[in-house]
Amino acid sequence: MTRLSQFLGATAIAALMAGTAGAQSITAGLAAAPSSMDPHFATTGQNQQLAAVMYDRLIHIAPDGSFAPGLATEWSVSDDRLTWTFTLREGVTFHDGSPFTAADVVFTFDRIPEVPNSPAPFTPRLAAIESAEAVDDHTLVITTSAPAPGLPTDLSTIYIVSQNVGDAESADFDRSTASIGTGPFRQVSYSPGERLVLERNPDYWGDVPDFEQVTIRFLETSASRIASLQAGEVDFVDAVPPNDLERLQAMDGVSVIAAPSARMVYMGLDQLEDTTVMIDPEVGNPFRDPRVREALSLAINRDAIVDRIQFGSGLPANQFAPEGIFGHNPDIPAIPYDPDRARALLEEAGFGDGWAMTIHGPTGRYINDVDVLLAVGQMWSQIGLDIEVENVPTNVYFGRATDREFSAFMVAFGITTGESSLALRNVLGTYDADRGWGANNRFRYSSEAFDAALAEAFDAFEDDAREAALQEAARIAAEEHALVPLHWEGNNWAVRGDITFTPSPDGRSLVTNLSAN
Amino acid sequence: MVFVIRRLLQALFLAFVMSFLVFAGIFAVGNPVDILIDPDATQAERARLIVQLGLDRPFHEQYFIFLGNLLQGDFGNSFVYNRPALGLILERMPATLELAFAAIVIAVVLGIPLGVYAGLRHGSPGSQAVMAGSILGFSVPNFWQAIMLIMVFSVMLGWFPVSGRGEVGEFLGIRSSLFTLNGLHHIALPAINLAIGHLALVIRLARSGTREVQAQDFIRFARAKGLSEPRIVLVHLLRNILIPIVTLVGMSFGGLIAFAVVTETIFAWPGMGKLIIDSIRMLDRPVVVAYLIVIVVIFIILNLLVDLLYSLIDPRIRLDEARQ
Repeated sequence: MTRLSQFLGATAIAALMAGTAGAQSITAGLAAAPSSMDPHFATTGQNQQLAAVMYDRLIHIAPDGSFAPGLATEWSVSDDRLTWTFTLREGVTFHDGSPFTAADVVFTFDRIPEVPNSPAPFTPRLAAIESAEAVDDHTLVITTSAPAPGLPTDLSTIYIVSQNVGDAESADFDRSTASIGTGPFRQVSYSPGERLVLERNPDYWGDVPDFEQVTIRFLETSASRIASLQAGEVDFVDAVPPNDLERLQAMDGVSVIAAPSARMVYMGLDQLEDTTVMIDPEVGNPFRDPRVREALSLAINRDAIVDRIQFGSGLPANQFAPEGIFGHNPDIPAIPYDPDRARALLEEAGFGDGWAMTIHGPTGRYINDVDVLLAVGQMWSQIGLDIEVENVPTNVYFGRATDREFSAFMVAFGITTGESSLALRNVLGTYDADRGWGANNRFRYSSEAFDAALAEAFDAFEDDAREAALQEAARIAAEEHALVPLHWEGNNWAVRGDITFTPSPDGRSLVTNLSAN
Repeated sequence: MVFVIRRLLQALFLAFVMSFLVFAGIFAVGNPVDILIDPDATQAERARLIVQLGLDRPFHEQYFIFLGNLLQGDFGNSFVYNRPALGLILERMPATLELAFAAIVIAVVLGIPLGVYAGLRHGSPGSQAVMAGSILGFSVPNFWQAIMLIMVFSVMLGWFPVSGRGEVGEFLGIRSSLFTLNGLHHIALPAINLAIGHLALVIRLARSGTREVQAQDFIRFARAKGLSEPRIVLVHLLRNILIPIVTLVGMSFGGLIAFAVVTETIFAWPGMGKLIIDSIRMLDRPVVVAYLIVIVVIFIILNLLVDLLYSLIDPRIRLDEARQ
């Protein structure tokens, strides 16, 4: 500490010291601020990564992707597969001291549809439930109208609040008056866009956090996040840009934690009709030929993208689910970089002379997205295509992509539920509004074999059968080159001092994963 | 009085035109549904969201609904936060106001003496240094300057916090971080960053004003009368260079409130600028429209205050003339 700062008020010094006060209290700098502290307002990642440390769920997802007991210690389903019985954990208390009972779960289920005007509501995750009944304090019976093998997955994202919340509105959670959960941390105060103060819940049934108090500050700009870490104002930051990794690694007392995420960046290729918007109708739509799609995939040097553009952060991808996510198919081979074979395939498909087109991508939505798209453009040029690259501001880009104004375009899909079914259904399932499939299938890949395999996964009750079906669907998509996988983005965190951060498979910056050495 | 009422009517009209332009502009940019929606959602949920946000209606219908609500004082609910847009903005306003105020104080308190000095001692090394500094002041990009300030004064020297707003104190019923030591400690860097460009402008205006006024007869008469130099500068000269400076400060203040975006983002200052940039990114139309209307109103009030101040500073100016 410099001499001058000793003259500044005691409060200021206390603030500077907060970062070094040892295991008692720490400060985290997170990139994304939540839209509300109401755990039932929106399913967005930034809301959930905060809700998850304050509110517990009936079912947890273990690091290997399997289900683990949470507030429910065990569960079973009846022979007709319509009635689920959950045994709830005893001796759990809410942050206000009241006991946790089945009535609180029923209350939570009833509250979720009452949360108004959410842009990303939780209601679809309760859609399978016809009724929920508290048989006694620690037995919950859920009835579904049709067999719902996805119920445990859905319930693993439903945050249980106390019935004492009553008819509190979302704003009451922002004021911390309604924040009554059973999670490892308790909400002390929140000021929007600025900070959230959490206090450890010593009565938590699982592992009690090492830190008595955690202050989360929302630092959106990466430059100020990194500077805050360097100056010792925060002990933990997330979303470290790959470009800063080397510099941070070289710093004393700072360690970097890197893990690939389950967010795959890919190029979608429009396959709906015999012509496509960005390509001269004379040429037709080359993307309908699987050989062309394979050629475009073989032309991508994925290692170069990860090493050079992402500074080694992330992994070359070949399917949506990386290792550790339920549905990952280990038999799908890595896609080689083989421009010669790519040219040969184009020749074989009758497109030996290539064609001209503009490819599109967003700006600032994904890590170094502009550079990745440029690299893709160059790699495709090398196999004889005449490529123009256009980067579109993110807020305009996705609307245009949904309106199908692009022929070859970059998008990513992140798996947040620990298994691949929603990624496969929304991105690769045949577009069908009535069925609710293919909502993000903007390039309109459609394969009967794939749809059949995926449908099997949705109907399968046993984990093994479900996993086999998901793996089969992933295999078909890879074989038919439904899209051009690029890479799984890397998640990077940095901590200073004697703190460890253990990433979880969902890639969230959970402050419960911070521990003192 | 007539003057003030006329000005307020103008303000209403401007706010109305503004609301239409912004509404149409954001409508043209596109549909926020694709950014707001959960990627796991199905088409049915997407359709439900479109209806919920009222985006299924044609443009004119959406605009008239908006206008109707506006006349009842309702700016609509934010798409992202589902809270009244005006409330969101007003909640963040004090942080921005105090930052703009601190910046303007720095610009005026340092800028006028430096500028007058540079004007009086025209050609001296000190004056040249001030002028060179002022050129640097308004040419350096705000973004880079902010990061340099953080690197030097927070990371290397450790004098100031990197970012964030300090403790909030209460004084005369106003809650602001300007009233606590911790708060002042936090606001220093962002306020300086915001002030530097305007400081440079104030210096240049004060200097050219000083040089112009200095040569006029009444200053010479004051000298001939044997008045002391401080009195000549502080009373006679200062008063006569203030008109352009007051205009600049008034307009700058508006600009500081409306466009503190860069500074607020880098210093993680929880003000309106950060809110608006997020809202533009998410196409959160109600917040953007409400914000711009609020800014128009602020600008008009500032304009009015500047005009009223003119007549106080220089009694030769009558408001009727200012009105044209």
